[in-house]
Amino acid sequence: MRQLGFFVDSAACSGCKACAMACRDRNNLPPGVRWRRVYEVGGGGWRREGEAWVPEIAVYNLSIACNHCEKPLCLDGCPARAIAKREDGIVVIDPAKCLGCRYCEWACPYGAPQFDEAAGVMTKCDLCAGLIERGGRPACVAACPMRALDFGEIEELRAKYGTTAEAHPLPKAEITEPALVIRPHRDAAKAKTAAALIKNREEV
Amino acid sequence: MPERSAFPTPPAGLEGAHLVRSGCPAHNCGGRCLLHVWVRDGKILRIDADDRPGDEPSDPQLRACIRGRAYRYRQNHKDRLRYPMKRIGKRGEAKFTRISWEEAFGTMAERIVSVRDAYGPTSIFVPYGTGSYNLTNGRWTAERLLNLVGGSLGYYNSYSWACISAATPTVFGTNITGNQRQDWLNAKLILMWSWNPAEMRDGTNSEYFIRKARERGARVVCLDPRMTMSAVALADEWIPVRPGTDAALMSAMAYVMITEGLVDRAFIRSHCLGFDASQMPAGAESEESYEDYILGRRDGIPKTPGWAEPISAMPRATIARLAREYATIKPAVLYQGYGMQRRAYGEQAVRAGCVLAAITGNVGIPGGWAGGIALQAPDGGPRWEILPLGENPVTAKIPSFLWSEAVLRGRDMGPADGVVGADRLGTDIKLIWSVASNILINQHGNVNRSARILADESRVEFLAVQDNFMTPTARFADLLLPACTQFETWGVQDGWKYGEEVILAPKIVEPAFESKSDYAICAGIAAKLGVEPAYTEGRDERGWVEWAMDHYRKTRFPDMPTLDELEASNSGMYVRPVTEPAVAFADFRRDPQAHPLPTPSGKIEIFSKRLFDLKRPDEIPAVPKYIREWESPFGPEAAAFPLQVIGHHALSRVHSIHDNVPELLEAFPQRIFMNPLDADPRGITDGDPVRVWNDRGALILPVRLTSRVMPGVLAIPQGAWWTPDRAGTDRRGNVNVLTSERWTPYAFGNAQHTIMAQAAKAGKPGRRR
Ligand code: SF4
Ligand code: SF4
Ligand code: SF4
Repeated sequence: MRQLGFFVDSAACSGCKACAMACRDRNNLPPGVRWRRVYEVGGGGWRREGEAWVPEIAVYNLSIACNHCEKPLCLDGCPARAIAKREDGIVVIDPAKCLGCRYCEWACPYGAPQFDEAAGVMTKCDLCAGLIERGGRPACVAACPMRALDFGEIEELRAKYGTTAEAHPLPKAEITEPALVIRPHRDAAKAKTAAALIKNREEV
Repeated sequence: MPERSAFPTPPAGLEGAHLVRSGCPAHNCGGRCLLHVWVRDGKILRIDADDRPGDEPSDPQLRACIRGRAYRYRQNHKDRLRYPMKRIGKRGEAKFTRISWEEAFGTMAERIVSVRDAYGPTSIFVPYGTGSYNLTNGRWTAERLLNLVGGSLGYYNSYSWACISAATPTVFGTNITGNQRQDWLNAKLILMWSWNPAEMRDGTNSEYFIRKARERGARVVCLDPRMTMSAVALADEWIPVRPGTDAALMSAMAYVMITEGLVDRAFIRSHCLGFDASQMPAGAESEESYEDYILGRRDGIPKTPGWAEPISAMPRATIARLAREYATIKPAVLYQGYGMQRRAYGEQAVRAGCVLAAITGNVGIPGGWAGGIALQAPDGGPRWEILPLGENPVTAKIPSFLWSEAVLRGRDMGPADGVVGADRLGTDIKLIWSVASNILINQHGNVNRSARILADESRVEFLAVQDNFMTPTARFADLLLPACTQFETWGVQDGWKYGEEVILAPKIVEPAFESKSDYAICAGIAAKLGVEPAYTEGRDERGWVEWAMDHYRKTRFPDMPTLDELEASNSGMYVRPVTEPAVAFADFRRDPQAHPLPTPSGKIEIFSKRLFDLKRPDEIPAVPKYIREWESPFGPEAAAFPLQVIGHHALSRVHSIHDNVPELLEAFPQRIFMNPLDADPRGITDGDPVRVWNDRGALILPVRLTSRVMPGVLAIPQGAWWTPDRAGTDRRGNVNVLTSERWTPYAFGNAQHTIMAQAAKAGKPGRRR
């Protein structure tokens, strides 16, 4: 079976949100509906050294959409069977079947399903299926000024970029087996000791 | 690869739409990007961006930032100015009534003539401003018209670059000091000093080139009071610097290099002037050389890392390490951003950075960098504003930042106030025509003062504002002229600071409501003034773009297609790939005798005799020095106002443009950024409304606590629209309620980052504290 997924170069991501806005514009997303979210992770503090200030902090960005997981908990949690995993691995929500009960939102540890108040249904990233079927790239991937995003067959992405699929404070990969490869930022190694948190809560 | 044809079939959801490739209506953001605009029935439905195949460093895709991506929300905004209007309330109250274009043109023409006849053309002023940046939208359209009817007071320099554009030539004799960016890939060390290309977009792809340089092995260090987006994504190391102390740090680096024998003596001997006593210029033989200053021979203060540590807040060991790295890892780039020169003595940091590049021998070599403003070699890069303005019968010019002085006391202003082209202005400014500019209220230092000055109708007797929206400046208009956006008229641009491309901005949709292009508005006024034929020369907007294409072909791009060809291809742009990047001063480096610099000595002037002759050594020293700023943590003002405030550029806006676009503010909400170490003693917690104030004004805004800004510094992104409550406290976070109108000593530039303030938790919104 095929499985498409995303690559995120967290080491190169500036947090500029061109990806998120490209997604929003392409999908006409209303306010607050964020199919792609750019998390600013940060922690640590400052040390006085003589009369100087020395930062001992960890900061990096994680641009995350839906990971089209191999164990999609969202799908398992949907009482209306509105969520399906396609042949190519893309996980989609059928708005005609969605009850708007928001169980998938609870089930997904990545916050990927996003409730559209006006339509009364759950929505989320479909990996720009309409674009890639025409040979294009997902809007976010094509948008990134840092060229920090990629997509494709997950096995090919892993061969190219490695097999890391988690970074603090994202959930353990074993929970949903996300079709995601992350190149961690150098600060990711010290994120736990710096007690790093998501710093831009209101933006994601 | 995606389908790429001139006119691709629209994707699902866009049936019946067509694609137009167009330059982003960039408004002086720093970038120039290519947008793919999907249009149906005269409405912009979606915006994608450049997808040209290849994406090589010689010709990378011009990928848009979030603002270009979000442009349709601005374009289709419900608050667009619809009709010409005239003021009915007091000035600044924003009470207007609709009038016809006929009346608007008539009023405008009549006031230009009556003010000119009463006070002379020097009393008429079109201020700096970059709200529209294509050929037929923008302030130059008004300058061209005024030049046909007597002229107007001119200005020079800018709010972005005043110090760096004035100080760079004092060292190198020119502002063309930059290698083409592809050459960064040859660097082994890159110091991003107060430079944040990922966030302020100093040229589309600058951040990407730094990424590429790093992939090729360059070590990248970022020096900035904030851990910027660039520090996170591009740098191996971020080292915080206390704002306003860059020249101290640079001096201490020079100390380490000199005392440890790391300077390039051979290059200094052959290419520089004024480094030490052996090479002082005639007439200044016994004056203080650069080495004298650094070693403290005259003032008794050696500029050691230990001296710089309490000033810059950087550990002395770090300073010494940085000095050794920069002096020994070759070739190296010390890129000077612009934030550090919009400060009290911004000239000094610019000159000090150029001198470091010189004494380490990084000038004129591939992978190196001379520093300063770095307009692109070999010829300065883009031509910028090319609409022919004709000749201005008024020769007098003021520094762009001193317009408020010229309103208050223009009649007495002369060269001591930066006036050039005249001994005295002889008149105050009486008529202001603000085109595509929000400078007057929003972006100038000290908003409350600007508002008081402009509210006085006896000073500026007539104030016309031409814009897309009811900006804080527009609220002060006597006459309001609705301009169309850059998607609604023809335009063209040739890159920003860098870039080897010409990007077309075709007219994509009709002007909204009754709005018109700046050019069409001026043509309408020209008709009333009887100069329309001379103004238009028979051209419409597209005609001028055609003219511009010819101009580019003659001056920069001989191979460029015609407008008709470019339009037919729907490619949106012409580009000349850069495969062999030019290196500034390569000739001079090779043979300084045969290729002298355009300085008085022909050399790199570490000691400037011209500055020496000004005889103001305390503020304009002949060698670059650290000078304590007039508002600083080290002065008495710090007792009441202990926090430094910087108004950095944020991606939610281009200066003040887009502040009314909710989609952008949702992505990047306007916040005060504060270190927890400053918040804790004040009882401030994350998200609290916080009041920030000083002698000039106050604002209240929610705070974001973050370790990304150094202790003692508040960062408030510049450009939010001034929104005072009844008590006069700004509620939107316009940093200019705190900034000052005071200018820098040599460049007469804005020093808007040099401010001190205090902060406290605010009461409930809507109540006075
Ligand atoms: S990221 Fe969440 S919504 Fe997407 S497939 Fe995985 S569990 Fe489902
Ligand atoms: S566009 Fe790229 S650099 Fe910007 S936030 Fe998204 S992934 Fe990061
Ligand atoms: S960088 Fe400037 S030109 Fe490019 S998309 Fe952003 S606003 Fe437009």
